[in-house]
Amino acid sequence: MELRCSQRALGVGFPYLPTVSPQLYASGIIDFVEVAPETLCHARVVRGKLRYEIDADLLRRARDATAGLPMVVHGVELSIGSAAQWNDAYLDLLDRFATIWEFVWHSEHLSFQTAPGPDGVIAEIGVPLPLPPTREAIELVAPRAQALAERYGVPFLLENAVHYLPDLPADDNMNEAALLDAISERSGAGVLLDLFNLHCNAVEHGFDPRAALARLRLDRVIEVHLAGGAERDGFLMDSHSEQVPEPVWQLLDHVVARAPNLRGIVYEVLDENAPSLGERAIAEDLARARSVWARWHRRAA
Amino acid sequence: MSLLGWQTALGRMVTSASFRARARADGAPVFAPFALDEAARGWLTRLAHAPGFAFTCSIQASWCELRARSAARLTMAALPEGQRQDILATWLARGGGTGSFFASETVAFLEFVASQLPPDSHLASICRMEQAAHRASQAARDVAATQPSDASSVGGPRGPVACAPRDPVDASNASVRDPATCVERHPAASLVVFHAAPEAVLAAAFGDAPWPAHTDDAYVLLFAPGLPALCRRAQPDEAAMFEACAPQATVAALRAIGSDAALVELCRIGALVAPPSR
Repeated sequence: MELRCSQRALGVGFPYLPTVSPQLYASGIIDFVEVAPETLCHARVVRGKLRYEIDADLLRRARDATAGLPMVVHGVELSIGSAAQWNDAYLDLLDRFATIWEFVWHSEHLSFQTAPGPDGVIAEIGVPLPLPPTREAIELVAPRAQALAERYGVPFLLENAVHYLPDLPADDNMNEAALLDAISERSGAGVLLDLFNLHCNAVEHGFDPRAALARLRLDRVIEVHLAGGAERDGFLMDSHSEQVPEPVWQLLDHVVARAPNLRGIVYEVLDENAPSLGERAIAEDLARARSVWARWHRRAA
Repeated sequence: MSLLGWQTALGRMVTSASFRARARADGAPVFAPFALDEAARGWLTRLAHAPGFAFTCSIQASWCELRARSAARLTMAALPEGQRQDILATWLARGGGTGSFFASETVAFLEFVASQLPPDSHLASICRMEQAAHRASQAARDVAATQPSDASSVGGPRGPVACAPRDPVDASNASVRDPATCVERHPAASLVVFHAAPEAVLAAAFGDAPWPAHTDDAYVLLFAPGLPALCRRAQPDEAAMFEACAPQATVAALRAIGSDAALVELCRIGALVAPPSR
């Protein structure tokens, strides 16, 4: 299926973080903002069903802080890869959110975080887990991805996951790149290529990230994520707590030259880590991402 | 391979330490209930011994603990370190802390914590107070979210309207004068008993003072979604009337316990409401 791709190239973005000063968003170094609607909500259980309520105060503060910037949605709660069912409460939230704040595109993680518990009831696992590269996974996610793009009328993107589980079960020697490609081709969804996730997986599972990129259809990449993480117990974590490491910058240079439909680069930082990282360090990495973006755009022009 | 079976088995491996231990000890037979082929069972068996899987479980455990701590900040801060760790460990072993929205777990977690504490202890009072404040603030926020933007003109989100969406009892007219009218507690309203001045107990909880001695007189706090600060000291007849509404009572029965003024006030602040069938 043909790639659903935004006509608008947005530039360099940053998540909306309540702890970051509004001046950073207004400084001119951020072209667009990425919002996780869940972070502007509180959840409650009504007659045994989860419901997310948009918090008017949190929403107003987010809109005020990021005034005038285009916005893309980056969700973490959908659990699009859950075989039992995805999170209907999240879609109900997104339906309401879409009527309040227009988004240019919408993305989710290619993972699952719910499964039937011992009593058969769907339960949260507490951490996102990867999908195996199998035909069944493709058949599960592709129709869902297509439905999401149609539901909101904007491109839908799937993000490659970070994980620490060795040698995931696979059909026909498929790998993660083949899984992403197949879902994208069958659904028209774009790819959100998280280069720090790729870097982490390459370090932990011992593969060459450029070889992995050579297997991925980079013409399906619409957005790139950058981030930095810390080590714990000898593992590199996707903690969004550090500046972007040099190997990831090198991967960005590699990708932007080969991704003709790239529409935006986002530097991810977690809200709780922003104060210790500091706005000067954040601005440095945003400026570096902007220079890569500008270089690519000059070439493309 | 069944994706559903694989996800169910993997989810169980991550969330249950005892299941993990069985998988490590017994291997593939543990996965028999999950309708998996031999290759998938073999993969899960190998996974149980993989350092990357142990790391995944440690991330999950640390996130769950963080969520549980965040769901009950005051009580967690007040508990002695050893007792806090024991309670957290038991809660996590029961599958607590997995929900991304930790606040949705607050009431249940605090109920569990209260069950682990001596009922007449200062710590139990703190735990019940945090639970009551959470319930009342949630109810007040829910009402605020459903009010029209000019809600302030009729008293604001925590004014007399705050007992909605439950049917309010009109505190200003005949309904509370009709002896046959039935009222019950708002599910988000409660009484919390302290065995010393609450200020002194809270100061001790924050480490600013020693725990106060138990006094003969109980200090009773009333929590209701319609109170401007969600809570205040309960007058004795208010507390008696509120206690009498279990599960509900008629106006006539309540008048036998306390004053009309107290009854009107309990309805006005949303502590007492009409039963759902009304």
